[in-house]
Amino acid sequence: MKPADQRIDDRKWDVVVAGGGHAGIEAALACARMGCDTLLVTMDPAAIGRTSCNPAIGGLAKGHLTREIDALGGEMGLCADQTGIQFKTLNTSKGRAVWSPRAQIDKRRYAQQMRRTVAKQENLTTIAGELTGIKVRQGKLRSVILDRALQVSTQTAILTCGTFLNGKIHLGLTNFRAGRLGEKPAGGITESLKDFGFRTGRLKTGTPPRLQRDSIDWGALTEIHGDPQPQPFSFRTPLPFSPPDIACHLAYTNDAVHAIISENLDQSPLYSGIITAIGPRYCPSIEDKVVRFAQRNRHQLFLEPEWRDANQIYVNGFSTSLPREVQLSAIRQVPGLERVKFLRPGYAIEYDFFPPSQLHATLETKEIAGLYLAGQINGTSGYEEAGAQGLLAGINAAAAVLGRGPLILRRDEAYMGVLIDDLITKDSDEPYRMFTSRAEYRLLLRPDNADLRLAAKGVDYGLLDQGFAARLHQRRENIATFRNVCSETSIEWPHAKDAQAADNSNGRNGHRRRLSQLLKRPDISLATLWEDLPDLLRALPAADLFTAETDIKYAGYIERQQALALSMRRLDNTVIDARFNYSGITALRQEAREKLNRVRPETLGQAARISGVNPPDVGLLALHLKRWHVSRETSP
Amino acid sequence: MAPEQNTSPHDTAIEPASDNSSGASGYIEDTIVALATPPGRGGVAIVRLSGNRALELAQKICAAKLAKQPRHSFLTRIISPEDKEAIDQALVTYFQQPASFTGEDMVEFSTHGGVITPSRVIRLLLKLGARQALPGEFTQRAFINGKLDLAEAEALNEIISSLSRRSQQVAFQNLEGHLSREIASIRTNLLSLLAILEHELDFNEAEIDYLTRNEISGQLKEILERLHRLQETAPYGRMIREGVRVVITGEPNAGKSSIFNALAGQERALVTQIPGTTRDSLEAWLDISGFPVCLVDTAGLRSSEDTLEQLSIAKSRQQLESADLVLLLDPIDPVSKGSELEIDTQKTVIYIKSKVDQLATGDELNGQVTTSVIRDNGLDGLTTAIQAALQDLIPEQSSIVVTSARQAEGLEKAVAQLEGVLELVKSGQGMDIISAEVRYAAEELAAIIGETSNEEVFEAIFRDFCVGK
Repeated sequence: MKPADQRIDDRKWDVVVAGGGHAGIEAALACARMGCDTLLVTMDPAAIGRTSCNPAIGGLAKGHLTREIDALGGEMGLCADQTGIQFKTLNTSKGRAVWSPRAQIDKRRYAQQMRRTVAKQENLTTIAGELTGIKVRQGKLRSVILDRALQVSTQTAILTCGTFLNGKIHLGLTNFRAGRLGEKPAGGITESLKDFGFRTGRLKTGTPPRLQRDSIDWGALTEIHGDPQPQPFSFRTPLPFSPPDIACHLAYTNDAVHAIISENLDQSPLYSGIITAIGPRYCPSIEDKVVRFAQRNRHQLFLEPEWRDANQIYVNGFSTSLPREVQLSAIRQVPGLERVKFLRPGYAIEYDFFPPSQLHATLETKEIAGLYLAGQINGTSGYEEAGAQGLLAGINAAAAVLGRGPLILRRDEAYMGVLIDDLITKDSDEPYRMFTSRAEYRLLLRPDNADLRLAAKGVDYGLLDQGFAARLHQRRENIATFRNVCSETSIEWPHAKDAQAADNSNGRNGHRRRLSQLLKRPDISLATLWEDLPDLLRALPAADLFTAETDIKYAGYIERQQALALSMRRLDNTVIDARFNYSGITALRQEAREKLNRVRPETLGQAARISGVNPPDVGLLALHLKRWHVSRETSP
Repeated sequence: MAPEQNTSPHDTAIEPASDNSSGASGYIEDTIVALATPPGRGGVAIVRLSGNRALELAQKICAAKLAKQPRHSFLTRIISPEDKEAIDQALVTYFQQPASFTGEDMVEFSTHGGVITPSRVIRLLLKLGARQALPGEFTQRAFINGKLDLAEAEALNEIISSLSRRSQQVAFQNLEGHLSREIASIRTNLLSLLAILEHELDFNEAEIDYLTRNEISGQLKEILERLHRLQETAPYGRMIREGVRVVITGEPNAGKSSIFNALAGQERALVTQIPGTTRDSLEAWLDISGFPVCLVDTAGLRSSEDTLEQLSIAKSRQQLESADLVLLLDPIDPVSKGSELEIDTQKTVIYIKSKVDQLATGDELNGQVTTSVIRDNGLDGLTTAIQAALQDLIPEQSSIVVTSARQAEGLEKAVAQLEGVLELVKSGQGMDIISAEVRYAAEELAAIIGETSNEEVFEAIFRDFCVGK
């Protein structure tokens, strides 16, 4: 923070970022690092980087996002590596494209580390305050209003208000206004934006109770550890990487738990009709699980320490908004939790969001030039989704200030590209969470190659230094070396010593086969062939070997997805003129016409991805566009 | 003179219409004209005009006030605006958009037939600023304006070019969507499997019950089986579309040409008679009890030293290979003993004892069709035998038939793709790759039924149309 004597309203700021959560941090850091004078406004500077829900970063598809944020020069991965207390790669029973890194983090140290990074960042000033309004002239942002009084001059602002906009906490049938439990909500900005014609909606999310550590019978629970060889998120984290490995514990719900929940559904704001907003379908509350998966007689609960030696334990899998007593009596049916005490109960929170089809792909609003929205305010759920948006909004806002071109990632380039594109083309009525199934080019978007896909852009925008660029270059060289050597080297396979077992069926000796051929087989990995590898290859860094090996395994499949991506790019390159009128295309189904008119896609590719616009509608639209353009060219 | 069929608008000397009225979508659509009936000596010819200026242009060459009553046929004179010469008396109808075939303003001129009159009317309209329509352009506009969907357009073309009652019937069933519905239903099954596979990518093992590899294989096999059943109809489809190839063969002088002429003449349904690619092959198009038949007469098969004859025998062999039904003639008085008849045992063959007029009366010829063209007998028996064989080749009850080559090709791709997926499942390949490969198969199926944004598919469908449709 800058000295307090400097007034923030007697000067002009390049960028003002409102909100100090995961989106706000990435946005503010990116802008400042790109050289913009940046002001970060947050209701409580001590709460910067607070992880309000689970004490973990990454996970299925979210791990992909974390690595991508890192590959572009964002902060989340680095911070998680420095403050993580258990690292694990999920989904390893499936293909490598969907392996997902995840870490338990020490919440306190994570937030502390983020606060430190923000504080020492050049060009970045943090003040306590609440952004309550904006001033606009001729469709362009002119200034922002803080605390309903102070006018701060800026042409660029990024709103990352999270769950705080008109936040309302539900605990059983009682509810009260709040941002997080114990923090006040933000008001004013929703109303201000509504005046400019923005559409808003209400969403709901929830969090589980926090348990008192010494009230748990740990002996009754199964201990879960991290991977023996933990992998860091960040491409910049120094190796060897040896973080702590603090255990989590696994417990299961049972029929007794489910019975109590079922009996008390009338006290759940979700089922009694008090919460009208829609919650995330994929991260359902325990009452949702009991109702919707009635055939399952148990659900997993992970007991996760919120920080090292924490007395506060997070119950992953038990998100709920039932009354405190019901939560307590239900969870006490779980073996090991019979005498458990709450430090605080689970709760649900309802908040305002702005349907993100009102945004350009840069996350700038279509309505007001210079105003960007990022994070949960766009209807997403999750730290990683928020961080990704914050980073991209920050880069694009700074790029606009600096007169540079925008950074728009394609769907075949990054999960971040999928995220933004989904947000602006699909009006979703539930919190948007990233999934690998959302990425149609998922074979291209592996966590291990995020740097190869994105880091050059991070360097280009000034978020990664030249030293990193040189290492990136070396990594590409190593991968090429591996590929070349593998396609030139043959070994005897199966080995003479294994041949007896393997060839009992045909009694023949092994044939000489190329390494590249062998590695393509699902049952053979680099580890299988390690003894046969030339020293040149064995000397390469493990991460490079992994990526190179995976490239060989996915050869052919990668090319096919690239070809498909190329044909999609043709649609993405077809710009739809803002004057183009959908209403006249009678052949379009009514639903498609309405959606197109509402979203007003900027390209044919975006149009193709609007839910409710089917492929034949797109083909039809393409024909109409072609004719529209021809007629424009030929008419005087 | 018939209008030139392949002139693109840019090649004509006439300037493109400089419309100032803009269409519903905010863009200007030019006005196209073409002869909708087959050129030649018909009693009546229909000239179609479609586009924003249709009414304006039509009004310049006819006296009746067309706009007064849309969908009403006015008997009126067609007058050249330049020299006021009356060209014809015609029935002229104005269809106001969107209530027309194309969904645009349309005018139809029913002129006197023949070659000259309709082409003079077309030339008048071209001079006024209309453009010669491209093949399929009217139907394409109908599609663009939502008058019919892609599958309907494709089926419509098949109806127009139907060779026989049976082809028309199948095409009409396709117009009604029988084939599309079956493929859509198979695709739905595949998409539900895909949804499960992709869903499983997003969850940890303990959270949901996974499909086992055996279960995935089982579902894939069921889907493949349904696709195979459709594929099996592709030969019927080809026969319905291109005609059943009935090839007459036998040793030289077995009476093949006599049989050919007799069948072609008797049926009186001769459409064209085109000389074959070899000096000896002849083709005739027949409609035999509703089935489209392409009857092929070939050179006789025997060993020969003569180079030219060897060539034509090779050609005959090719014809024989492409045959759906073989009429094998065995004359009462064979000239050679060394005939080289090797016919694929898979093929349907009708054995015919020919030239039975040379047979002493009272001889029995059990189990064979006997003919004598000279005595004009046995032909009914032969026709009956051919009809029976056709019934076997194209079962009447097969209501879902893959008719177009495009559909058959798409099915083949989808099947090959899914068979590849089965292999991957067996080999233990990762589910990320498997689910991607399943998606490609679903996309192949989507393209068959026009559930695609791929313009190439659109163009392929309209390319087969002729001008004026």
